[in-house]
Amino acid sequence: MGRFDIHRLFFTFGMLVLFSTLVLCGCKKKEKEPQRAEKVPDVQYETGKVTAFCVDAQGKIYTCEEGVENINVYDADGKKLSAIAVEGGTGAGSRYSVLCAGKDALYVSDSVEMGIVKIDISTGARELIYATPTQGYWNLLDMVVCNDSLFFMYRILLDYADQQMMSDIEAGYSYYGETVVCLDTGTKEAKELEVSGVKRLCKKSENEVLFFAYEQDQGFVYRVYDAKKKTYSAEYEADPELNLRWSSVMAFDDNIKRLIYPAANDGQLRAIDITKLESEIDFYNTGLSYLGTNSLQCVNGCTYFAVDGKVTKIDNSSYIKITENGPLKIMFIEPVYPSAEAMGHEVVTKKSETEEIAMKLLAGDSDYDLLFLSSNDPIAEQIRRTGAFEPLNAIEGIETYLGSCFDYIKEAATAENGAIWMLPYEIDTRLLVYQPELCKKYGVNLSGDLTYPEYIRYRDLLAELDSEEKPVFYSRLVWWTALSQYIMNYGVVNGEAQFDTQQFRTLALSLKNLDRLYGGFEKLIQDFSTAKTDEELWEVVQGYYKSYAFGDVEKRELEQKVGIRSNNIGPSFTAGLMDFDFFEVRKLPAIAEGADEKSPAYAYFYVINPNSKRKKEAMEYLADITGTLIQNESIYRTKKLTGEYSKFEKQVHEVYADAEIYFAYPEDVYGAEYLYYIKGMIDLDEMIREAQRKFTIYLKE
Amino acid sequence: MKKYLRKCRLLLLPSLLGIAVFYVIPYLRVIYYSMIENQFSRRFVGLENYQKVLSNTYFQLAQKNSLLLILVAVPILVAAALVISILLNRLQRKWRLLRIAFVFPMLVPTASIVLVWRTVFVGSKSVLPIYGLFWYKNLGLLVILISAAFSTLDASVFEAARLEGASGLVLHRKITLPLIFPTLLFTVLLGVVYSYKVFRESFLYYGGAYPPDHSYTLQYYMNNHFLKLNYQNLASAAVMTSLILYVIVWVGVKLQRKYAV
Repeated sequence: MGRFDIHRLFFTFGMLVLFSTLVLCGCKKKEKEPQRAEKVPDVQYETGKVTAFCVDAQGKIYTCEEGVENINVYDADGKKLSAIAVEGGTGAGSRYSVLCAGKDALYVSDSVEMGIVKIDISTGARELIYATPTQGYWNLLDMVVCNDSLFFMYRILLDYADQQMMSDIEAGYSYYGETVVCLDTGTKEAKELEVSGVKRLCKKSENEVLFFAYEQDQGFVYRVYDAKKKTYSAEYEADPELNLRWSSVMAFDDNIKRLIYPAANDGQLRAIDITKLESEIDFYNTGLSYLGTNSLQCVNGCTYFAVDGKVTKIDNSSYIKITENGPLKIMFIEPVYPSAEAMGHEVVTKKSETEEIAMKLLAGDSDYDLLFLSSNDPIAEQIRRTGAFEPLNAIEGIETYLGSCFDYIKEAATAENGAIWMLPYEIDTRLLVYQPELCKKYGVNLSGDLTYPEYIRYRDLLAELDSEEKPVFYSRLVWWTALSQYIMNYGVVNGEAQFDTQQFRTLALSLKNLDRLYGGFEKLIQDFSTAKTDEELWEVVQGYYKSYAFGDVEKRELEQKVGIRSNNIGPSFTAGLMDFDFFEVRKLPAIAEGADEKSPAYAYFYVINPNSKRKKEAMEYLADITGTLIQNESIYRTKKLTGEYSKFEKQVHEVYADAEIYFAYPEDVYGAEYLYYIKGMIDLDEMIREAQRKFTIYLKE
Repeated sequence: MKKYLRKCRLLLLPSLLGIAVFYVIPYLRVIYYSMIENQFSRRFVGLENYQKVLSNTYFQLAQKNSLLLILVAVPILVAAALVISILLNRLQRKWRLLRIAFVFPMLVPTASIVLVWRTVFVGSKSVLPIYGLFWYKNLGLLVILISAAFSTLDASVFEAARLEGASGLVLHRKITLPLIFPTLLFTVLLGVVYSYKVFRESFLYYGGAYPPDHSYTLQYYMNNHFLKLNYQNLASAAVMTSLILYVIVWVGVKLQRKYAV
């Protein structure tokens, strides 16, 4: 029996390793170059005030216009071609509400004859082809021609109890008696289709109609009806978070294979890939708050919609940036959320954790394209330090944008080697608001130098007043801000942790009893519910704020609106602190007396994954965001303001100018002990000892 | 014969491929990471990272604590498992079911054990809680393994030894231990590997990534560098740790060759 040749085995094994490595490397997919279409200009049709319109397969539009008895015809470039003298007129544009173009004929909803009428395009002759099944309320919603059949959806007046019974309010579905009918335009035979819970319908292709509906056990779904084979596709569920379910009208662009629809109440046009139903593309703002029935149509890659009686045509591919490689994926770590508009880009967001992102960076994962992070997340600083980013210097306008921001923002966005590593989208810092007169009354002086111990003393002074209303609103989270401020300004000297200092002891002692929360929000809600009109509500909110001498607030509290009524019943009024001019603003107290300390500010920003396969698209997306940021100056980031601003806003701007981006350390390095101390679970010495020890390990390990 | 060898190689191929893809290539990659500035710039720096890691006070502390765990806690664990196994082996058959009780700690969720441990070791400022957790979690498995080894021993060997006048400790030293040496070596190696896995219990017990200095082990060092995206430090530390483990295994194999029957 021969010997087992160990050398040959090693050789085979080595070859295997080599082979496996080569195979794994070879598996890397080649990046596809994105195709970008040249922007086609929008077309606004030279029409009168349009009351209803439709588009035929050639892109000609047919309009009913206010005060006009004919149906006008316009070509694809917006020029008027002709007018169809309709038999019996159009009722000065008010008679027909829903138009739909078929081969040689228009189909309209006729409010006089109560049904659907066919109008011959060449002669203007009309013929009632479908009479409403009820003499009562009947409202035609959507109507499309598909494979020589007319598909339409109508509503009838329902008993309230019936309507409620069929609705699923919690899931956001309300039933209004919607019914779908298929009408053969030749034989005029009508047949109700079994599409329960239907919300909208639109034409998907020459032979297909798409139904968007609600199913009790599945939520919102869509399915496609093949008009030729008379079969339905399977049902596809739509994420309940999508705006799709609120759309008032929808159309399908067969060129880019996307469903087009407006968002809930902002007239923002969105597109979605129905095969995935995951990423809604915000691509065009119509300027309307609501797009009604029949006001949106898609033909030959263009979307047509009517705004203020004028029809506009936009080329979808000019606005919707679809890549062959799929949508851009943005990962974020709560509590921040990527709030920038998609601006025509196909974007999906995914919540993640610090550990997951660290792992993805370690593994060189390419399955995400962007990160949206806060400088409050410790991984932010590590990304900057290690170069785990794609430099953004090539983005058009980014230098201009950063140049327009406060210097400290630009500094934070620039890595040591000069590379721009992140795109700052939002800045947030805490600040103090106060009413000088009221402060004077209570013996509080916030106008000059102020330290935390003094500030806490003032707070306690007002909080202990023997009155029902405590004239101070105060966030318990200020201890965290104060701690960040200490660490940012004094916490690390020459790489050494500095917790065992007199400054820190004084600060920690003053923040010891922060577990009491003051404020009169409950009272506001109480008063609020008694207000009957908008004016009364304004008084209530103003009275609420006027009773407060001072408080520390975050940016969102400056703008946060209070006063929205539940169930949309009764008066509504919204206002944030910024709406009241009786407040003054100043920066946070200092840790050390007389010191010129910077306030810790947090940046919320985008970073491109250096391993992304869609770097180019990600860059284009950030370039679009940058363009918007340049156009819209902000008191929170723009160095030199050019617009008109109130005194309050100018003061806020000054506070934001005197801040610094704080890149936080992990909370468990020092935060846990600090919290235990504030809660009285450990004493000051123990807290300092532990914080010093942990922070030292963090800095030196 | 050539045909036979070819067949052998072919049969080995699937597992070798698995080892290559899941162990060898990642390990080579870790070595590569340990020799570059970082995985984003990929500048080759040779042994600079090793030098940096070796001179780091906290790596030294972590290394010392990890080795202490291996040198102190693992022998105690194996010795305790051996003694318990011998005692269990002496019990009547019906009492041998008692060994099942040693499996329970492996079934209890770590978080629950840690919760109990915290109440038991309130205010403890030593390594005892972590060593205790290590013993508590792993003793059962080792007892089962050693007991299994006992059950495979041939009774006639002991009979013969007794006839020759051997008894008590001599019997165990001269017969039992050499016979179960491979299993003992295996349990020692398992103990060493599990000593690295005690990180989870320790992390939960101390509630974070920064335990007291006496319990700061290599896993903390590596975990913290992972979150700092310092993969080059992590990789260097991992390579050095693996070398220590190789040395331990190598010593074990040598001992086995020398002492095992």
